[in-house]
Amino acid sequence: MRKYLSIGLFILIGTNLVVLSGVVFNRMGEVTAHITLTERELSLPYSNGIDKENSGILLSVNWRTVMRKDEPYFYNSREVKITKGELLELGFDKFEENNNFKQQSRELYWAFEFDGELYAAELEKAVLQYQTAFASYEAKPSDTTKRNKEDYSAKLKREQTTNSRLFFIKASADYKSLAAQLSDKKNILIVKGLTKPYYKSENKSYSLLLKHLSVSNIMVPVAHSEVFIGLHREYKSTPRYTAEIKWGSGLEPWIISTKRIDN
Amino acid sequence: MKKQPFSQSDAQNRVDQIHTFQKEILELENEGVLVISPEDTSKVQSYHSQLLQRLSATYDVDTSVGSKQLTLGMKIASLFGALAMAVSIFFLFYQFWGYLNTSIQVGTLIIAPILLFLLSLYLTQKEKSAYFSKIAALVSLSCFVLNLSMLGQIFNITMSSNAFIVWAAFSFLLAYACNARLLLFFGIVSMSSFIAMKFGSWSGMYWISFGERPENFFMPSLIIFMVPQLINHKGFSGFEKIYRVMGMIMIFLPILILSNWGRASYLNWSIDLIEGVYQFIGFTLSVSAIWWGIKRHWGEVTNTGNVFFLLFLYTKLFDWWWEWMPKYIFFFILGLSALLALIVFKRIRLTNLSEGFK
Repeated sequence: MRKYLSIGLFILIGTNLVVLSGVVFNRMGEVTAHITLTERELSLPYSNGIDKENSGILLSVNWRTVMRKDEPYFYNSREVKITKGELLELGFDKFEENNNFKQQSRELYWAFEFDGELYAAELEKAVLQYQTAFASYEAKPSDTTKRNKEDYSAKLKREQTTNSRLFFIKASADYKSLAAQLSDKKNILIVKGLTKPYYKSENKSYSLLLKHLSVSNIMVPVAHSEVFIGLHREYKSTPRYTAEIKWGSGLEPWIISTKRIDN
Repeated sequence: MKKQPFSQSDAQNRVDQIHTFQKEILELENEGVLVISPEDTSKVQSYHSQLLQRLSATYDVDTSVGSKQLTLGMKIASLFGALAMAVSIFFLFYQFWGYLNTSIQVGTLIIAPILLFLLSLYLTQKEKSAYFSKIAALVSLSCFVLNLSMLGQIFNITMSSNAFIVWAAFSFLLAYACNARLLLFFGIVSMSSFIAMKFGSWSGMYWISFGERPENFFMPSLIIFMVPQLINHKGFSGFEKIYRVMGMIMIFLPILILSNWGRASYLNWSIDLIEGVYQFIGFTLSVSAIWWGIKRHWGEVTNTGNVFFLLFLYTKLFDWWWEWMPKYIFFFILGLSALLALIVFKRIRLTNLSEGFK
């Protein structure tokens, strides 16, 4: 019985020590990003079904890609165009054009920009679209032009108040080179995410499917959870809170502080 | 834990054997085939009575039909109790963890499986039948699973396949310490998943997608099947059967999937060829399993082979004929194939019986 006891305690205590050392290593090392996000980038969890029994608060990270020109209404496409050479560079050396099912997913480093040039460009695009739609309506009022004007007005408002400002820039297999490439930019976040290549035979193009972040939820410690009392997940509201977050040397985040925004 | 010379199921088999012997002796005496002197009868009865008492005291075996039925009820209650308690622990923590500060959360998560582990070992020593120790052991395992998964959430840690090998190690430890087959099942599932994940990763796949290629399970299935050949499980009731059946399920299920869905294979052949090859392997392997099970007197291997042989056969028949054949003919052919299988099994059984008489 002693043998079972000692092996069991070794497994239980040893595993927890390894896990907690990883946490210490992440937090004691170099801080790779330090950003204050808002509700636009951090959604509250669902509070229905089985989730309503969960008293913990896990904020899910909302990120997006730059909207493609050919799809003006498409918000948050999780796909980016890529060349075959870039795919090989990312390590997808077993790529098969004739079988998308067999393409294998890889965990890569993803770089994001928060509230920077990409967001400014997207906002400008939304302003221009609204102005064009407004001008069309003024020149030729009809149900169609009126609907377009209203749609673009709503889209502009969403872009100004609720849409995420965290934009995907690029993926890389190497953290250091990615960080070096983006060293001149501010508010850059590099984390790990799962990607899968894709071949479109109709236009013979390659895409990279951005499946999900390796850490897609951030836990709110009880010390910072007061801000979220009485709040529920909403899509239309202007941001109601901010969270100051650090990402450590293991690219894993933790919350430093939270604040309520009075609207 | 110091193991008994034989397991509880061995002891129960001995008790059943004594009862059968007593009945048969009575029948032989009534039919006038055998007459045993009163002295010999009394000697045997006294020996059996002492042996039954000893077995009952040491192994908590059932010495009557009534107690056997009650034991079955207790086993079912123990299984449901353990599973329900394990699920309850998850929801209990979920309900309250949001109100606890990080150090209390971490402390609770680490201490709970340790305390339950100690309790299960203590109960294993105290109890003969080990019902409560098995419940404590399963709840301890579920607390350990909760421990690692919740630490991952609390500290926003990237998931890792290594958690499965640690869960497997703890499951195996508890299974052997408490002689618990359910925990052995969890251990086998965790370890096989871990090996399949590693094979998937080595072939360039992201570890969590290991299920996309059923061939990842071939190696763990062989390892699991071979364990009873390499390690003696005399003191552990039913462990060998679980290893063999789990090993077979893990090799036959992927073959069954690949024989109908060749796209999931690693092989770069045409889909028809892949499916054809796996159909052939499936039929050959299931027939071999039936033969081998009969030869080695492994009932579980024969039965598992039977089940998969029929599954391979029926999925193939469905594939060939379901679309174009009138349904009454389709089901008639299924019925005929079952009759054919019955005739074959009957012949094998008769051959075995005649060998037994020799």
